[in-house]
Amino acid sequence: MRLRTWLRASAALWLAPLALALIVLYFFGGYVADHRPGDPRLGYAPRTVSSVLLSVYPLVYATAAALGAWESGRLRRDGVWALGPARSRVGVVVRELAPVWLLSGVMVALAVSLALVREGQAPSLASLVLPGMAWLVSVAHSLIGFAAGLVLPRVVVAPVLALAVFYAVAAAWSYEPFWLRHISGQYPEELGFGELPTPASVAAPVLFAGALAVGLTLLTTPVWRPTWRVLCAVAGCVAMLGGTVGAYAMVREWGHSPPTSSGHAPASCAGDAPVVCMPAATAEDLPAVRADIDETLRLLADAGVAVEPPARVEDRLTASGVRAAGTWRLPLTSLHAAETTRLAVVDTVVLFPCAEPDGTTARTVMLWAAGVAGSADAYLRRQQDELPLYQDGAQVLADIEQRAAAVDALPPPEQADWYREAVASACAPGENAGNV
Amino acid sequence: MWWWLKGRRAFSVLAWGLGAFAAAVAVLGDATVELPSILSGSANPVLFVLMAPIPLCAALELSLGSRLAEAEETATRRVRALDAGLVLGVCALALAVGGAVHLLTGDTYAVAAGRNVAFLTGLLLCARVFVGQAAIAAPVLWIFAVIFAGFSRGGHAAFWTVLPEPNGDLPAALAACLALASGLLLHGTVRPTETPSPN
Repeated sequence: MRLRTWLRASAALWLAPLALALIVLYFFGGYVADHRPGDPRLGYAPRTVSSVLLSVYPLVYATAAALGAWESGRLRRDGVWALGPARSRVGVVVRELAPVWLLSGVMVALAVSLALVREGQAPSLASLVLPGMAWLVSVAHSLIGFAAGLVLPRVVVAPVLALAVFYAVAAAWSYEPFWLRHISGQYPEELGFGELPTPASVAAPVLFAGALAVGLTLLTTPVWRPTWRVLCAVAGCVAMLGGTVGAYAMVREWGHSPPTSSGHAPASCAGDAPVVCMPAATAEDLPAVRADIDETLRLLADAGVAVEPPARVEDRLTASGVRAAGTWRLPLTSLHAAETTRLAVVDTVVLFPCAEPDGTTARTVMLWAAGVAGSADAYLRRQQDELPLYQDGAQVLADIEQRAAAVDALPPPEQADWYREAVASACAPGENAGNV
Repeated sequence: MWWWLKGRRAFSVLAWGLGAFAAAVAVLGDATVELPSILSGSANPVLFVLMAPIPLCAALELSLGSRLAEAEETATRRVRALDAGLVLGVCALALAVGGAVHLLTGDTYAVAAGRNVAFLTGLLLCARVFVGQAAIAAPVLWIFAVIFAGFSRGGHAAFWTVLPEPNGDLPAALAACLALASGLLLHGTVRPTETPSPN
């Protein structure tokens, strides 16, 4: 068949303008309106792709299922199955469904490329995992529709499948048993920077939809030998049951969100004792961040704070696996953007020997330490945001400012003594237990 | 008459369609589901029963499409009037089912589901004289339009949506009557250009 004829014969061509227009509308109405990219340097293609695809999955699957049913009804209406076989059954099905698969692929690709162009990012191989999953699941849906269209009239199957698949997949994230959402084919999360979906979280929906497709195809394939017919039916049922149970077994332990593997963004490190690591994308901040960390550690040690210098400081964006002893994980990129790196180091170094130290004393100690590190203003800003939530917040704020000023007036050795006593007294039992 | 009813598959197809509709209305009731909208970009609550009329509309299309074109075009009986009666009867039964569910459960959307059957059937009849069997896309696309663009950010339905309005809503009832009347008018007057085919 000529290419033009092949395309024009398919209902996929007639539905394509509408389906693609909906993708564009979703892109502007959903993605552009809601997506907050954050630091523009942290462009991460898998994140962009996962975000734009969120609302696209149900539409792609519903289109594929409905078109599969419609096309199989067309073959049945035109009596193709009654003709003498010039092509194998598989060949006929593939030719019939290929325009549908093409349309699904174009829908996914359009959404992904619109988002990537808008963010100015190049697609990476890893960012094609979710679009690939979406396409495979939509192929499975088209086969399910095709099998249903072989048995029931297309005028009933196609609309019912379109709505049922759309409802089921789009509502997946609000289903209560969590395993339903993990096998629905809608990846329910926006990936973070440096995150990728685990192989199992992508394989489970493909396995579920694929098993249903294979099973229904086996059940609807006409076989003339009675033994084979029974074998086909049994194999179809086993495939459907096995795929569903297998997919369920893969995801049943998962909670609200599917598991992700992190640390896939390239990191660059600099310095030693401590080694400081940040995403390669924001590596230009490394010298400033290192200087902040080194300077703060030195100032605190000089002032008499017991500093245990870390061997390594990692940005949380690129950290992965279990944290080693002597390693700090801080959100370095956002800390540097907010100019609060020094304060974060103070927070990490100044520790109290109990979980709930006395509020006023602890805050005085922190304000003094932040002052030593040259970030008293940042600490006061934080407290001005936090303290008004408490009943006597304004009183406490004035109190700690006054006390810290008094300590700052002391000569340095006495300040160090005061610090040691204050840390101990903040945790002393019986001392003013009010946790402001 | 009896043969005509059988020829229109009133019992083998329409009865199943009505059964599916009744089951959907009775079971799903006023349950809502969060679906992604293109206007607000986020999820909006959509009633499950919005899709309940579709099996019945599809069954009606299948039933009206099951005809012997040559014989019916030259028939001495008034086949189109009978068809109109069939459509009205199905809509009346759907309303009755909705009313029964409303009396049994107090569901505020049950009668509305019957009204939606009338509205979507009207759309179907308007479209099928022009495009034949593919007209079943019209009610489906209307439902999708309501899902995609029918609700504002606050979850309030726009005036044109018709489907999500509750039982006693007068404009929606008028819209349903209007759609059904124009559908029946077109069905009774315009000769379809292509022969609707079985299945």
